[in-house]
Amino acid sequence: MSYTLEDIKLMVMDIVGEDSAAPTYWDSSNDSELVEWINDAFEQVCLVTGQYVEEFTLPLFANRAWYQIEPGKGGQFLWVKYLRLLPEGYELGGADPNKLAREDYNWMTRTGTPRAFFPLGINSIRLVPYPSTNGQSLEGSCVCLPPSFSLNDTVIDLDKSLIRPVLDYAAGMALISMRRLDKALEFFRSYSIGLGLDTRKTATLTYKSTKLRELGQ
Amino acid sequence: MLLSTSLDRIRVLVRDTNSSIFTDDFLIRTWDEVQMQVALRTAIFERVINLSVPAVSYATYTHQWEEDYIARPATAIYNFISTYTYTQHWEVMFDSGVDEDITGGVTGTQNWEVLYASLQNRLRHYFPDDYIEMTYAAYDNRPLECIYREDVGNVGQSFKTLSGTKPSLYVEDKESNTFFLYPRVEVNGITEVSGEYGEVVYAEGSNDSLNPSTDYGVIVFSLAEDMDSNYGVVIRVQVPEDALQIIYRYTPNHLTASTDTIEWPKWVVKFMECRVISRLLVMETDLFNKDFAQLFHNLYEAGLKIIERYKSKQNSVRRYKMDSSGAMAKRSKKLADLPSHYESYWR
Repeated sequence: MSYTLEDIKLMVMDIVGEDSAAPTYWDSSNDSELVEWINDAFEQVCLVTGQYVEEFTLPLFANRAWYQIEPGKGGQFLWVKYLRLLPEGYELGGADPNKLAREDYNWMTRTGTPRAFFPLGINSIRLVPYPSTNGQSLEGSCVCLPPSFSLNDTVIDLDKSLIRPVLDYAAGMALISMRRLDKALEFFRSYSIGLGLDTRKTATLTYKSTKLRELGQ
Repeated sequence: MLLSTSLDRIRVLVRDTNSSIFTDDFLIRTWDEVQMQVALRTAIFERVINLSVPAVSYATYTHQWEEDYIARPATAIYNFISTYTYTQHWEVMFDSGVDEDITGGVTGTQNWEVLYASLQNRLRHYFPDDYIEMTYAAYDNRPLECIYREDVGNVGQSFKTLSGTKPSLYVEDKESNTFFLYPRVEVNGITEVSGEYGEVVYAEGSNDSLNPSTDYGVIVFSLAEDMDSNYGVVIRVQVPEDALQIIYRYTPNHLTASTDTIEWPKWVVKFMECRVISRLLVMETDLFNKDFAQLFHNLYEAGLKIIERYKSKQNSVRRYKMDSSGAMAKRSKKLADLPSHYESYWR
């Protein structure tokens, strides 16, 4: 069964006590907040589970080593699942600039058929070595966040067990906006459990205070 | 995503849509503070830049709004030079057939150069002002070692006068904002004044007569910006040859107005909104609600955990790590200085 965003919205409205058949507050002229929270919920679920994947083809240019990856359907890029070089057909391996430096002192200036890549920042990659001629391309797949849905859109084909966290998150936000703390807490607790998040453990996150990190660490 | 969009979402959740409690200015300041905190804590922004040696930061910009970036050599944008779009200025040099020099341009320099040149201080490189930590450094397209003063110790006083072709990136200590190359590299254009390293002369007055091709390396300064009516301030693109290339993690642009664009991915913005809201709800206002503040803080903490998970996934191909604690000092000795025609493993 596929859901539309409208289906999800009606489910959330039922959960938070709104009459989905004849809404008194979130009617069609006033439901943008609700739609936004549901889209946020989909982002959250896809972020944690990596369920939404897009494939792309990226042309390679002569003497260009760095490339940006943008999902073709308007979503947000998260990370690369695989990269395959065309027409050769083999998969590029992952690399690290420090590792490369130890294996080949001149890796930065090597040109030729790409064999490896490393990611940089949010959405850039460096090919090693980089091509000196035009004509090749990269075929890849990346984990993304889906673009925002409109009410009539059919939402992405999530695992059915993950619809529940979507509803929990959206209902939690709706209840917060109504200042119903106890119920909101209950839904966020259910959402956290559903996605395997445990906020108690976040205290162990380390704070980045060292300015210079030694090479290779 | 505009900051105003995020502020609207925050106002809905704290029930202050008519700004009767919090002004926009206050929300923007809080938002900016939170984003810097998240940037330091997560360090998900990363970029690579070229810095000239000696530390002249030529930067080109073509639009008025880019002017703010000129003090940050990392963020100049060069998408007008070619039909291609560049996200980093050093990319231009990778594009064959693109002239890196712009005819009719003028040379812009950094404000700190004025200070250092006029005070006759030893010129150091500055880390970019958005710098958090470094992940990789190279000079002249070859990897560099990073060392601290403690690595040089009392036996290494000659670092002041030594010169060589295989330098290390020397940082005073881990909190320092400056660094220099040790031993210093021989660079065309530097005129040593007193024999101390790094002291330079500079061209006084207008620098329009400088030729970027032949005067490369000369420290110049200008007290006034000079704009070209066609190009804006246009100058030489820094190429990695005979220059530093560093990969580092950085903080995003400060946000000062609701019309500013948020640099963060939208999915991170949600978490920062939670942190802003949790801060707002514990302030001494009619909206004070400790329990709600705690709930939003928990959502923020959960978001940080998700970001950690994201980084783990994204960097799973970059898990290489040197475990030996003593490896750093020995590394340059282990690293063979191989000729460029040396066959690497992937050939």
